[in-house]
Amino acid sequence: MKPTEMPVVQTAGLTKVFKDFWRRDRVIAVDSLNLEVRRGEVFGLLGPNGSGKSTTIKMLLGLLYPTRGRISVFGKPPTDVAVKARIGFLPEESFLYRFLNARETLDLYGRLFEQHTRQRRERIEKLLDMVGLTAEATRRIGEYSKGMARRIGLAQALINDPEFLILDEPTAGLDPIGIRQIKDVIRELSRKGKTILLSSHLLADVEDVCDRITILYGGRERSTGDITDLLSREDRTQFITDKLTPETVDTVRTLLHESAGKNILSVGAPSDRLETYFMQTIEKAEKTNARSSGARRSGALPDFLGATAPPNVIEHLVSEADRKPPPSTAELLEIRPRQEARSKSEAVIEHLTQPKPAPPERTEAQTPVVPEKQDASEADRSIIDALMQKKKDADDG
Amino acid sequence: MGRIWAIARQTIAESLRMKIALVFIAFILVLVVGLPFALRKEDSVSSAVQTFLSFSIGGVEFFLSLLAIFLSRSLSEEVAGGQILTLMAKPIPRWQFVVGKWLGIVVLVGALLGTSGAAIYGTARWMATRPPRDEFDQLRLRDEILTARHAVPITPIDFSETAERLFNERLESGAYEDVIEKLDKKKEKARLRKDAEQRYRTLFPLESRVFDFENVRCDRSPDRTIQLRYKAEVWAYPMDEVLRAEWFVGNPDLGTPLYQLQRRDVINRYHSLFVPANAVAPDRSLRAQLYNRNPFEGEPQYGNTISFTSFGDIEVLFTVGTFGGNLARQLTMVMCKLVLLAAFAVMTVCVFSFPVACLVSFAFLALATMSGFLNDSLIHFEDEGVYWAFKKFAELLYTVAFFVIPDFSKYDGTSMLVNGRNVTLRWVLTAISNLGLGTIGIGLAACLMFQRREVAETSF
Repeated sequence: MKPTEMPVVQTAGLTKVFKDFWRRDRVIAVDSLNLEVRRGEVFGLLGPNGSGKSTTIKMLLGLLYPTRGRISVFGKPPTDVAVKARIGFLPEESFLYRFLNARETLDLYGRLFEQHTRQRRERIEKLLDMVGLTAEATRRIGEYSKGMARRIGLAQALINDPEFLILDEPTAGLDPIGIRQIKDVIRELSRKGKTILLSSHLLADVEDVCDRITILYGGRERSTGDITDLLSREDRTQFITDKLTPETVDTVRTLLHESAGKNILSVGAPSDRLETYFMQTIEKAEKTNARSSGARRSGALPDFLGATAPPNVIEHLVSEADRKPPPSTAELLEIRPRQEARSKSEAVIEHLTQPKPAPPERTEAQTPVVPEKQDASEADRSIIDALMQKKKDADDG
Repeated sequence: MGRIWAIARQTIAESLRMKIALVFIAFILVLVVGLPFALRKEDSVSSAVQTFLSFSIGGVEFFLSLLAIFLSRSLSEEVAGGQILTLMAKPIPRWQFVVGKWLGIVVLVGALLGTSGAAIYGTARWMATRPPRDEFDQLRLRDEILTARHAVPITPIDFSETAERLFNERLESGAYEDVIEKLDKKKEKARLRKDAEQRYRTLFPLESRVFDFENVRCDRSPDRTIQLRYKAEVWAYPMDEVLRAEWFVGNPDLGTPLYQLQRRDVINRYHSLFVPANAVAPDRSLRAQLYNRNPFEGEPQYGNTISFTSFGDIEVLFTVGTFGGNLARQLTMVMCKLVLLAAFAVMTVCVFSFPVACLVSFAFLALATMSGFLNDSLIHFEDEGVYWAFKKFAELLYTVAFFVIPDFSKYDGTSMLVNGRNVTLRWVLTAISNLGLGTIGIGLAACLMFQRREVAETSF
């Protein structure tokens, strides 16, 4: 992620006006948008329904032509066919052929990249495995649930090992496993050096994976920046420790009050995220081999993705995880944050020890104190996971 | 090419799995296989085969034309259904996508046409094995239907010399004396020439006439036949519907046998005389002489005058090819039309939604097929009073429309095929080049239109 490099996407004064039959302006879908997606980042395009996210994406792909303004994708106009060989696109709905089965669908898209038969077949199998649809690969897509179709949509977007992935509402219509999986894929691809543009109105998803975001409303850019900068609460500090007795809490409270003149705003047991809990429940069910005609829990990200990307620090961690025989997504998740967590949590603690400006006094006891900072929150979650694990062990023991 | 073929494959798979093509295949099957059983048994085999060929070829062409139009639905469906978004985000140039769609339609329609052609051939051959009604039926089937014959018209005779001679005679005899100052010599000679020609086509009782043919390039072996085909009128009092006369075919001066054929024919209908092919002279000329005399013993001589409406009413036919080859050439012309129609249908879906595109394509097909008929009806349209303006407007419309729309009837060899006439290679090549050029033009327009289209915009 070198900011000096040419951005993957750059738009200047991008405007799209939809006209009616008589060529009169009907609606301004995108208005003077200046967008910049840098190489290697996960960029979020946020906004309520009808704010121009999809229109912008369609213009980036040359599916709509801008009324005014300029777009460059990899320094070329978006209609350039060569550019499209480097892009993967998942449209807002999985627009697939109902009469083809999953394998044929991927085969069709693979052929459009003029891939060799062997490479195409190999990739198709790996992608089917990744999205957990190998067992359903010969069923027609018309019989698929929306979520299953979405998974095939994701697989087709990855068939060319794209440098730049455009995901329009990637989690729409997916079950929690699917959502979690898409987020995993985004994170893993990002680690492998891919640039990702993601549009969504599901803020939790964006928050979990994006580096930078732009918020659109009425076709206009309302806010842009690093998600950490935009969301960090510089006026709060959060501790997470092993379970403390009320006495210890009191002692800390007194200590804080005396040494720094600060009050603790809330104390309590952190609750697990519903997503984590849900994933654990499903994992248990799968271990008992419960029948399901739907999508299976998926395999690892295919190795062809990002095979040519330059190695980076985190890749090292991923490859270490990959070396273990077939790791499930959940396992990958468990491993990675923990390894990262050590340093992250140290950083948090360091952060805590730094003198801070005094926060304004608050009285509402329910105000969340968790800093809404992406990296930190991820670190927190792993700590929570670790704590939960310990607690479980203790309970079991 | 890989990308174009990927799109074509996809289009074919869609048409088969969405059962559009299957419906048409069923139609064609019923037509080709069922039709022979639906024909009346008491008909002669030759006319049954003719009816079968005419209907099956026409029907197959019609159904495949509809299929070509319906298959173009694939593209508009992709635009309406959003699949186009995923496709156009892939590195395939727009023109390759359009060509791929067209190719898919052409391959499928071509495969069906080929299969139907084979089925038509097989069925016709099978029908020909039925017991013939009589010897004539069998001969007709072999030499007039399941064959490919080339026709030679009579060698044109120059009557200007006769006209010149007549003119001079009349001038000398003083026939023009009263009008000599106003006499338009050219016009008068033309009139005389026409008279002479008409006279030549007319045989008074007991008169005989020689008709010569050149370039009869047939197999001259005596076991082969050539056909003398003619249609004559008879002027008689009392009215008579039967022509009684004698043909002498061959030229003993050039060393050929002379064949004598006694005829009793219904007038105003075509009749074919089968003559052994060795009647043709080594220099490929053929002489036929008609003698206006009742050759039948014991019948009275009628005072009939035989006349031919035009020299086109007499021709010589001989086999130059096989029925199979002829059928293949005719189907090639049908294919050329289908290829062009497919391009047009794809062009319309590049611009319009399917219902609109479908109507436009049907209109195109109807106009292209009925072009000749429309032209005729326009010529015969009343142009008095209020109709005048309408006729002018229709003519203008016709001129503009048929500048763009090809005349499909120009490339229809069905009637030739059914009558065992050779569908010439030259004709087929003309169809390929003309309709091919049209296809390229339409294809370019389609690519251009699709290039400009915003595929994510579905409000068309």
